[in-house]
Amino acid sequence: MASNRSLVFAFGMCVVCGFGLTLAATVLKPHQLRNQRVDQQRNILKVLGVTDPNQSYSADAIDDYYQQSVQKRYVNDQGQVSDQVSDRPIYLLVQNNTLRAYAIPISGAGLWSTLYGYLSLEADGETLRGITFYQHGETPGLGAEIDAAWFQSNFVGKKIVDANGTFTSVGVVRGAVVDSISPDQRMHYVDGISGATVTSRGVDTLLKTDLQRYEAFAKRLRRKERVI
Amino acid sequence: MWRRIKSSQAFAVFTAPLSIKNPVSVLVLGICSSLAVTIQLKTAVVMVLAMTVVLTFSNGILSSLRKIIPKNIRIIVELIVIASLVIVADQCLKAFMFDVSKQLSVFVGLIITNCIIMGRAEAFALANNPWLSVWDGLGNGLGYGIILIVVGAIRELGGAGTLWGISVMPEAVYDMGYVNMGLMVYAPAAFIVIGLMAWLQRTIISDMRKGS
Repeated sequence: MASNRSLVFAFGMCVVCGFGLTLAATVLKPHQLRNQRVDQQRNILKVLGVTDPNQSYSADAIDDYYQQSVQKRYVNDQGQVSDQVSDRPIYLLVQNNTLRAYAIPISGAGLWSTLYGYLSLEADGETLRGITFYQHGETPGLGAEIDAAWFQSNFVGKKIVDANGTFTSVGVVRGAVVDSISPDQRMHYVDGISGATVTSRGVDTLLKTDLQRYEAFAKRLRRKERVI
Repeated sequence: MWRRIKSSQAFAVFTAPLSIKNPVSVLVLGICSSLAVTIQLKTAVVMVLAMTVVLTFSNGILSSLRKIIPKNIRIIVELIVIASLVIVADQCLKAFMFDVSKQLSVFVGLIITNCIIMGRAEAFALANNPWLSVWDGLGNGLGYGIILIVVGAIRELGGAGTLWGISVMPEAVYDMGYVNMGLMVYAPAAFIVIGLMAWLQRTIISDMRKGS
């Protein structure tokens, strides 16, 4: 009989707790989804340089800025922008019907974790405008320096194509660029993080892969075609 | 009034974990999370709040159920209650303190495995009435909190020169050649700081005993 009572009790506990959890999850869901959306918008606005990184913005302000200036579209194999959902989303910063800049999602392996972030380029299709990482599990002080301002500002103004218009991506070197790269090549390289070789190399690789995925679109921009 | 509070059993139950029965530095419980979330003051404080809320409720709930929980499944029942509370706490953080929940990430879920909670449920809540158990939960949560906050403050100040994300190290100190201590952001630093605090506290307690 004792085990019977245990079963009934256990069943009762499961029902009560299950109900409580369902209730909590259902009530809080809208808040959580909004938070996730605003967080993504915040990162996109930051990488596009719309918001000032040293200032904090309320969720409503972020939402407003985003609705006003950013369009989420998709890029196809030919580099055309459409609303047809694909695995190549693109975030266009459009002001007065002109494309000012665009952001693409980037991701790849670091040392301990996958790095997720956004990379933004100028409307010329060759100059980097900014980079940000919103999720990773790298070592604080070493690999996690990819979040640091010095590392991210490194990328601003670098070129992803050489003088002949061939795609080169932007490389992350070991140590400082001035020590290992000749002056005419420096616009394609950024300083690496000392003590975090694997993470630096990860960033190098993910930039190559992800920029390549959007190369068709970037080429059209470089040919000065009208893309939107 | 104060005297009555001071001589009450609840007061004794509440204050013991703050000093002579501190869960972290004396009973050496909850060390894992103390190492993980004390890199910054802010994450430490939020962890303490979440943990205290969970501990207080779990103690209260389990204590009120203590007479009807069948003995042979009591550990599972404790776990169900604790796990449900932790999930609710996690969901609330995600809904209302998104940034912090991103930083705490898996550690909120790991409150379930924090030995303090199961330990207090087994050792106290199942043997005492809900009123005392709630005070015990609150006291142990805050006792854990004191250590976490002090360690968090030391590590953030040493490792990044900030407190609560605000830079407090004067620029002049850096100009004189001071460099942030890289060791402070790693888990071993927490071990060292907690170890020193445990030593200090045990010394004080044994002096108190000798004195009285």
